[in-house]
Amino acid sequence: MLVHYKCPNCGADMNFDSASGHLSCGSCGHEEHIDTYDDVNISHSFEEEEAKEYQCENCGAIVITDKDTTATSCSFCGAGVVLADRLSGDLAPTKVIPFTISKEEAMQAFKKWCKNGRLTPKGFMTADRVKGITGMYVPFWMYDLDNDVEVKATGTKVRTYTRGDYRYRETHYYQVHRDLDVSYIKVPVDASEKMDDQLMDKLEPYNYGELKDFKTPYLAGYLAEKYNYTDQELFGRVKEKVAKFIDSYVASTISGYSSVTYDRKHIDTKQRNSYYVLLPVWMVYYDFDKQEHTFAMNGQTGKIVGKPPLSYGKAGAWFAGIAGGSFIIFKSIALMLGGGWL
Amino acid sequence: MRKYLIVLSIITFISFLVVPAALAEEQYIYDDGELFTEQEREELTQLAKEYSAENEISLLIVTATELGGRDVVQYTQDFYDDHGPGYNKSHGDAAMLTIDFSANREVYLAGFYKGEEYLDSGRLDQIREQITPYLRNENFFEAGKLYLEKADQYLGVNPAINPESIFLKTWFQLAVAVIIGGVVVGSMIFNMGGRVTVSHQTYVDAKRSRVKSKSDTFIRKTVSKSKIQKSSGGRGGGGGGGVTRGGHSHSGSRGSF
Repeated sequence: MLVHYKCPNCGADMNFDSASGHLSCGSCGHEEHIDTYDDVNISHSFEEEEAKEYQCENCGAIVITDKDTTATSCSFCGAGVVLADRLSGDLAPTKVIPFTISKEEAMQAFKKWCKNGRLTPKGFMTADRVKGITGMYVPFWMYDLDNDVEVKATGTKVRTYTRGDYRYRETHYYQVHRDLDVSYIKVPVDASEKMDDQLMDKLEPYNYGELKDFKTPYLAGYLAEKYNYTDQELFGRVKEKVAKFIDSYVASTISGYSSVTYDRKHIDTKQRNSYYVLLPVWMVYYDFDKQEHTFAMNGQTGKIVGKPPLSYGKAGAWFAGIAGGSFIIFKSIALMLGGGWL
Repeated sequence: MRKYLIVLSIITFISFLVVPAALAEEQYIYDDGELFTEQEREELTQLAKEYSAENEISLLIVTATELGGRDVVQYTQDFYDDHGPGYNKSHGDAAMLTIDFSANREVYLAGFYKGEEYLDSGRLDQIREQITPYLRNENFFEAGKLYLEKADQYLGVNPAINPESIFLKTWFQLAVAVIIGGVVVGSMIFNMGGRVTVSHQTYVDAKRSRVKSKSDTFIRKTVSKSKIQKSSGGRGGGGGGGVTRGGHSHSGSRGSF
């Protein structure tokens, strides 16, 4: 099933506009609020089976999609289309964070980011080889988790004092016990097979104030994918992710010791809730030195992640500068205090 | 015009006072014990003269095989009172190395005035420890040379810090600089792809998170004691220093070889 959003004014195709947060018509400039957009204007075209080919009802061209795609644009007429049957039932997202950064802004921000690359080769900094930039709604699972944490640890406090000709070192050992409830809300884990997990983790945090109830028009004009893994399948990943948070939380409740060694740490993680959400990501594909580099930009905050190429010359220059500079500083301090040249 | 004449005459007067002192060949090596050859004596004199001028202090080496019943400290003090060494001034800034090559085989180092400040007893101990191996082998020339070199080095170092401090060593400074450079550039490379900016507080639900129970129970204590290493020689005299009969305070370090 292919869904088009028609402009009630002129009948052209409408796309989501990141600046206003509304559907906007490219031809007449008409804007429609997503919450009030009349269903009459949504035109459906049904397909008999879950095919990978759809027919664009605008121009009649075949829209070929990936099996995971839920929103795309017709490659011939450019109309934003949403594959509604892939967003219904179990596959219906509950929430979405709409794009707030437009394609042009994303491109500008990316160019600026390249220019600031302190360790990237010169040719890379101009960002003139950007092959493509794609706005994409990436499927995430968000978990509300309750953790029951029990920790047994040994803490030491060390006191030193001198009496007579002796220096005393007194070590007090304490048995530390903590029983904690730690809850986390909306911890995101990306559910797309194609996306690099590390890259997606670095994109966080998203501002959850902008979390909206899911409506298909948000996807108009962007690419979107459905999840490849269910929330149960990804539970292990979120537990792993949260375990690190718990460690820091536990450490923050144990203070005043010179050293702490953990004897036992038991974490029982329970899932209270999970939501299927779509989060906005700009994917930037950059050809440099016969290699394709992929970068991702948080479509809401503009944070850019991805490994840019490394210029060994520049890294060497930085190293020489910093090491040389510190050596000169050390040497001048030493000379000022009267140290020799050698 | 009259003003200029006065200034000129003052300058002339001063130069008359200074020039004879500078012209007079000052003796630096008093080799009564005849521990050096003629050539060695000349070489040490050359070195002592050079370093003395550089540091505006008189660096002396005194050797003896017969102290006339006095101990090495007394001998050194009397020597200072009698000869009154000093840079451009009698009984002034000076440092002395006295080698007693009698049956006692003792060595004493002393610093007077500027010498007392820059070559305090602690520093003199350091020099003595370094030259003792040479003295033990009766290589007096090398010992004397090292004493002059070390004195020259230490005189340039602020009295507040240890002249043999590792922080003044070039290899150490270089190593630290390389480590700093490596760490900074390493973290730059590591963070090139973007950093993780979420912490354990980002997703925490403060309302539902709490410490249900906590206890910190004291179990036992251990006490270890270690003897405090007596730092040798206080600054500004103390330790091995003293005052000569003529009333000149000095630092010092005494040892046998």
